[in-house]
Amino acid sequence: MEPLTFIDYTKKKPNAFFGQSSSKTVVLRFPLCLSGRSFITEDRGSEESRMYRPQQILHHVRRAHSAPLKKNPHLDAIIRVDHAGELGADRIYAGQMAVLGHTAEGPLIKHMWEQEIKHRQKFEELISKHRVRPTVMTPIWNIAGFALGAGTALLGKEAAMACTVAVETVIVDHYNDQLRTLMEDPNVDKDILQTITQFRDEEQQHHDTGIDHGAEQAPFYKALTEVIKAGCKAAIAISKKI
Amino acid sequence: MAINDVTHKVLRSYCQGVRKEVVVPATFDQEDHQYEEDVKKRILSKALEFVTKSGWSVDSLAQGAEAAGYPGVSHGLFPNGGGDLVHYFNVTCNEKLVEEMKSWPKEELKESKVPAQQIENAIMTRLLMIEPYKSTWAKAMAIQTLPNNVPNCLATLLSLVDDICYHTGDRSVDFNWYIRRVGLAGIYKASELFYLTDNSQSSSATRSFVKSRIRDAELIQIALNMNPVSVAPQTLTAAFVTAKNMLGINSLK
Repeated sequence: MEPLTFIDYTKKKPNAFFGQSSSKTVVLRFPLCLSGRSFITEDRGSEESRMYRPQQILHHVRRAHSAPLKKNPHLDAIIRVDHAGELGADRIYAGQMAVLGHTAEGPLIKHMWEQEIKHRQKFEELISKHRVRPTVMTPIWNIAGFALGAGTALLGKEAAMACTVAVETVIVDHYNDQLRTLMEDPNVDKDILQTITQFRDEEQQHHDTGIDHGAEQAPFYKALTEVIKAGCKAAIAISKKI
Repeated sequence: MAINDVTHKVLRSYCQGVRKEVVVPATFDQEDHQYEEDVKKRILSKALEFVTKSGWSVDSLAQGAEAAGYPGVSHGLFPNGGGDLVHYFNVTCNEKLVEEMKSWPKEELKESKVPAQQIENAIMTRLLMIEPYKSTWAKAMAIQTLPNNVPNCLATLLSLVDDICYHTGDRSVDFNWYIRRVGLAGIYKASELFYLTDNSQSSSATRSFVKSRIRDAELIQIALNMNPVSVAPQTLTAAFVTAKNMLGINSLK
């Protein structure tokens, strides 16, 4: 007699309202944007975890032009959000330069700005190379970044440095998280790992430069940095998805 | 009756009231999934042959299943019925288009020039793939707009447009990415609708329709890129002529 095989048909056709689940229970999920991401558990690190299967709805979008089973599923979101971050940083420094360009801090800010421009260009290359969709918020981050940079610079040079410190703190943590995610994958692209590591080190330098140049003397330093950090984290969460 | 390992694990964790989701070993899952996908593909490809007679419906699926050697009720594998058949057809057409585009010669692209000829060829190739089913395609388009089919339809459209843009050389990394793709999707859908009522010789009317739409897109792009100061005289003249036309005092008859 044939052994009973466990074939779970509840998995096969999830629609937009019910997520996939390997047990017989049907779990309600938010019908969010069509990102093609599976909404099941996040711990893909374990060896025994079920095969990553993109949500059936956008299955054929991915299949059409990429090799979904070889590519790390997080790679798209990582490159997209990093590009958005570097674009934001580029505009923040541009804003600061516009106000403080002629002061003593000008050359320092200019140097940091040029490094951010190089970071952004590198991510643009990666977008082309891996055919990643860029974030749709590009024009908004453009304006918001410039406004943030110019706004804090108008409050004084210490506030500008405080802004730099806040943004760089969030970005360093963010890059560290990404490195952890990428290193879980056994056949990760070494180029990306190296790039992110190098950029993280440079962002850390910017952070230290900011502290050295009097960030902590800024008015309302604590409140200012907390608000900017919260804003950056929200922007990162948004750009990961859209 | 022997119960295998996995079922045993499932039963045990269910009985013990374990809250976390049951972990199924990856390899077992993968083979299983692959097998079902193969069966579905076979049924769908056979079903396409019956579409001209029975339309994009469950009947074609049932006949296709029988032709592939499975019982007729296998159409139950496709809860969206005709919608799944249309989706499969779209996906295979897109794949064929990508294969063809990869074999076209790559021409040198200037920065702001729209590669009009290549886009026109790509759209025409894709539209002509519908030719065998042209009589029933209107029904297929209607099926695609049903709410449960809309996500699949939008996904294949996005995939098609992305592939055409990528293979004709678009490497933009900012908001242009979205503008180009949305624009191209609009052109494609309009051409598809036009193609349904096109009775001209070898679809030449569709080709000229596509050409004019692409030219419109190019003009919009030029208009957006213009420096406002340098074209102020032209803009003023255009506004003046429009006002004259609206007031009825134009000189051209």
